[in-house]
Amino acid sequence: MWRAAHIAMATMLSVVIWRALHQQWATDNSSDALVAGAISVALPLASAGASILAIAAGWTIRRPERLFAHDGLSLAAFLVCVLVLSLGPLPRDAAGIFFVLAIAARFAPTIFAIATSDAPGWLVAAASFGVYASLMAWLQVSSLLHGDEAHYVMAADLIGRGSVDAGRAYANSALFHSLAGIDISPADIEAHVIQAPAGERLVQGYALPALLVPGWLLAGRMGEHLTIALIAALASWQLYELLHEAPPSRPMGGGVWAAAAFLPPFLPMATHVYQNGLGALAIVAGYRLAFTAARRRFLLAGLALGSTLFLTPRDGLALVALAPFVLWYRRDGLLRFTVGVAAMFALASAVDAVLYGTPLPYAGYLESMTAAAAPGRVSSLTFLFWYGLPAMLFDRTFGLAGTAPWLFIAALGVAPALRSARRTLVPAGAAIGTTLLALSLFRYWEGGYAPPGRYFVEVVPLAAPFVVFGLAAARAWPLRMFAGATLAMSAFAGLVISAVPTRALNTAGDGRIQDVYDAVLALNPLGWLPNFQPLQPDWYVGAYLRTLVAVVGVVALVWIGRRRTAGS
Amino acid sequence: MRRDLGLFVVVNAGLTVLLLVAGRQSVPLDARNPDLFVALTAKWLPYALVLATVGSAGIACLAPGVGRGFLLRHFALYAASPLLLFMVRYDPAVLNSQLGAVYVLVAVAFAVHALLGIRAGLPTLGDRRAATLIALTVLATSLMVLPYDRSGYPTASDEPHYLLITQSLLYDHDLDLRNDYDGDRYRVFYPARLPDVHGIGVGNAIYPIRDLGLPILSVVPFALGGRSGVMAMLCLVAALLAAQLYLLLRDLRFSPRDTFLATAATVLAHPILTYSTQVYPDLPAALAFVGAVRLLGRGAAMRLRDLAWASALVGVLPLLTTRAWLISVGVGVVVAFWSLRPLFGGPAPLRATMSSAAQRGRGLGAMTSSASPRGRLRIAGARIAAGGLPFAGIVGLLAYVNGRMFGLYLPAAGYYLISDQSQVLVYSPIVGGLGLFFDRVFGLIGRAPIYLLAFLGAAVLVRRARSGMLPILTPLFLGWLAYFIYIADIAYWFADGSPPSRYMLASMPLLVAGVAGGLEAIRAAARLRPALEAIGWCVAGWTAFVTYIYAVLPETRYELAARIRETGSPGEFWVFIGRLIRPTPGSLLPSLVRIDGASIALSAAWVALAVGLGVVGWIACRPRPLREGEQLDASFASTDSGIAET
Repeated sequence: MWRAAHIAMATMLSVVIWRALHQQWATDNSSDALVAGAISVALPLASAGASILAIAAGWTIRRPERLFAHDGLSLAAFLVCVLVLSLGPLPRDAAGIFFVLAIAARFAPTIFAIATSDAPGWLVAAASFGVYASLMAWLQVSSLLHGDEAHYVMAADLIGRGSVDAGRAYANSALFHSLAGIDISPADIEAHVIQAPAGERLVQGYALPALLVPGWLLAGRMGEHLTIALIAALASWQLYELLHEAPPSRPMGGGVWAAAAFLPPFLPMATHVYQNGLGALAIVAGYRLAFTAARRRFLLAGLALGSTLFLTPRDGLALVALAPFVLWYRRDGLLRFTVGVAAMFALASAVDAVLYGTPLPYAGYLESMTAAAAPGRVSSLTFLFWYGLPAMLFDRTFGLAGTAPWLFIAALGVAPALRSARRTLVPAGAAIGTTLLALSLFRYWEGGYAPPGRYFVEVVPLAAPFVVFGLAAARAWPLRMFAGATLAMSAFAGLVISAVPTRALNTAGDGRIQDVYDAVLALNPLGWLPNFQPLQPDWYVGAYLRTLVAVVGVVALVWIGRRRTAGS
Repeated sequence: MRRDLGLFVVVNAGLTVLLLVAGRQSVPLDARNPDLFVALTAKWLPYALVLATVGSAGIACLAPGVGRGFLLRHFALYAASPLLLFMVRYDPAVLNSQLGAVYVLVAVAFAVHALLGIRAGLPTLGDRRAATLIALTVLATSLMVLPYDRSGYPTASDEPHYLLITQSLLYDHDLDLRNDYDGDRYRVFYPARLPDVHGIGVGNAIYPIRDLGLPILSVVPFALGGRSGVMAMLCLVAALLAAQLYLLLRDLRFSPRDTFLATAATVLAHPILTYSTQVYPDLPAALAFVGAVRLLGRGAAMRLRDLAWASALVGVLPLLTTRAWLISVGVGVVVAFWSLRPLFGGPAPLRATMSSAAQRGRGLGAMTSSASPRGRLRIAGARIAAGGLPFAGIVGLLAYVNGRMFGLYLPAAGYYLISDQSQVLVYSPIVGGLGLFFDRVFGLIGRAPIYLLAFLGAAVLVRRARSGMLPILTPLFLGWLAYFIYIADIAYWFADGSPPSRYMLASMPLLVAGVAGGLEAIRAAARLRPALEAIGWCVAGWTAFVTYIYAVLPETRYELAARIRETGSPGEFWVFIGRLIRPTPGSLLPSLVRIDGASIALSAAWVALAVGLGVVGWIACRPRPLREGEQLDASFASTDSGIAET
């Protein structure tokens, strides 16, 4: 009966909301037609989708009455957001805040139900997709494509037309202009196109563009974003499964899944056209299959981790880091794992041989590095790890601490995790450490003109189990407040980035998220973090002094976690 | 817990300081309303969160069962702060109402948080403590809304006239309002020249036709804080009303759970919460009504002191508002009954004397039943004096003051003198009665459908009356009935110019009891229980939403009947709701101000629904043999009551 009532309520209210949001005020109060379209079309569709998911969640976790009630409350919260939008004109940024809050309100019942139960994978993926797709609608309204995004889409368009010749793609500069809002510059072409033996090719490879082709052909830019959202949703599902397997019977697992899937740095990568979500999917799926799943499937694990050979060398680092642990833990599975990796290696080499004329994985990057080694060019490797490593972690604008401080709860969980689940989590720790160390040697540790923490996205799922242990260790008030504060700040950053995506994009000297903190809170809680942009001659004095404080903080967290473990 | 509370207070103090610093930052140069921006971020928001902290700490202190999670959840209230600050900093053109929508959310979130805490601690709470906690919640919530209401919107309708009388009492020590109307002292609470004079000219003086109770109550609060002080006093009245309603429902032997839900769903909703920031005497009148009913509800156990207090409260009612005379009549009958009862064959006298019984503080029944014939006469005299003198004294004083002003020694002399200027009674109780409940623009149900549960609970109250609750239900029902019949008969039953259901407000206690009865009926309903529960949550949700809208957009609560008659408009409120929900639910309600065929049909449908709910309630709560599976529920219910009794 509850199901029937829920279906009836959802149907009725979906119609009511649809009609309400198709009134003149939606146009009158919007800064432009795109915003009006998002309010009139995306919001009611998202609301209806959220209700469908809530009904499905009630059905699958056998708590229809709870989901019915929560969906009703969520609708009330949704109406409050619509109320603010309907009261009068709001600029795009402020409208974006309420758009995102409305989306969060509508999907909250399903997310909460999933987080507090043992939900099926399809529901996890569907709910994640619902959130990402809804946020994608606002991203399209509020931001053009930046950084590498436009290049991926150009390549997808090219493949759709049956070619891989990047030179031909960039001849069509009108497409680039429509995507990025600016004309393509020679420097941009130089950074993204290399002269391979087979011709002009894209540095970043063609795996992601190939996946984007169907979406691009069917629905243009929206189709691209939906494809990315779908990939991220699958990664979210795998993360959910991992958190149910790696730290067994930890009730916080659901909450950490929600944090990992719907907070930075993962959330922006679930809507922006980058291949980090795809890398995260491959790595977390491979990790599960090799180390945590009830039934290990080493061949599939090898294939999954081997598929990173199609992406970027950054993703391949995880393969390198994890492969020895297969040997260490399960000698019997090594052969199958190796076969899987070898198959992908061969396939990637073959593909690159055809595409680039170089029979090796990452051919585009290899060609790019070779080209960079030429006199007068700048290499992408610096080997200044004392610069890149602390910057990736603590830089206030581009580092993890600036937008995703919640991940530092993991420091508290390192000792308890390695003590309680050594066999399942040591490989994760090794993969994270290897990735960080290797990326710290990369000159462009910031991740380019993209949302911050982009390079860390691939290993966020592997860090999540440590956060679970960290939250479990945070039993004292101060630790709970630390955890709460970092989660709150990350949520705030996630809200701002989703509502005003351009705030996530910075160049040297920028600090757009920090500007929001400064303007809103006056005392920026993250303002003490270091700035690793060498804009002043003595920049490193302040940067490293501040880094010292941050490092002491992280070490203290690890030490507290270790003491807690010893105590228990 | 003490350590937790200490840390809780310290952390909140730190956050408040941070908020004060954040709020005092400069606002954008091109801000639409910079003063409001600064007030909102640097004053109201910290003030609201301090109130919330005090409320949460109070609940944690008084309800030990709430636990540490309750204190942690409190910090979620701060989530509104960055949102509000973001809007102020990045949108110079943001509207007051848009900021208000976020600001009022703090009050809503606190109310929900506090109620969840109280509910968690309810099993270990006594009645008085639970009532205190609900009162604390109402007080904090209404005080949070107060500055937004106060700063954004001037007084309207009769409000400035009540405050004008207060000013005259405070500054001039008289009731001659001529200098007040002529001057501009009232501009502190009314931005323009008052369009009309609510007084009667006697010689050179103008004396007020408005009742004097509220201005007298308001003198000290106004001296302390002006209009805000009076509004704060009314918030306190709302809190006291909440506590009294909770205790009334417990007196009626509703379970703590039903009592809690009914009280929370009504006192934190329109019209009670809406009127906590309106300068009208109806809320104090409701408090006096429920106070008198509770005192009389002790029946034979009532002491002389109780009778005297009840009589005084009945006397206070017409002092507050002339309309409340009808409540006084209904309740006064019961006061008279208990006063005169010994003369008409009260319980047979026993050995004890009146004085010794009185010294021991025993009830009237005990005194009369244990007195000698001579003592019984003395008892009767004492009871008549206790029941009559306070009332007579207050009403006499009112008549004397009126006599000094108008030369007519009558309690409602002002209204009597102007009675020929407009027709008050039109004797159309069907229109007025239906309108008070179901009218689209002015009715109660459209705004607060939670009171539909009162129809469901009517049968429960009838059964309560049959099972020994007659002493408390009689004054409650008679007071309500006399008042309702009167206001249904007056020409301006809709009380336009003020938020809807103003005239219903004073008689709310019976409806709140009905809501509690409705909840009990829902629990007792067997197969229909899930459906009724769902309906209950829906109507509670809608009521809460309307209360929120009224708090955020005060302009939607003021309607004029003449405009509705002329234009056929559904009213500002439904026009606005139509922006959010389409088709608007208001189209399901009849208009009793502009009656047409559709309204007649809709009225009939609503009456049928009300009757149907009554029948469902009657069927649900009728005694039936317990089936095997229901033994458990029954035992839980008795345990529930048992805890409360303890």
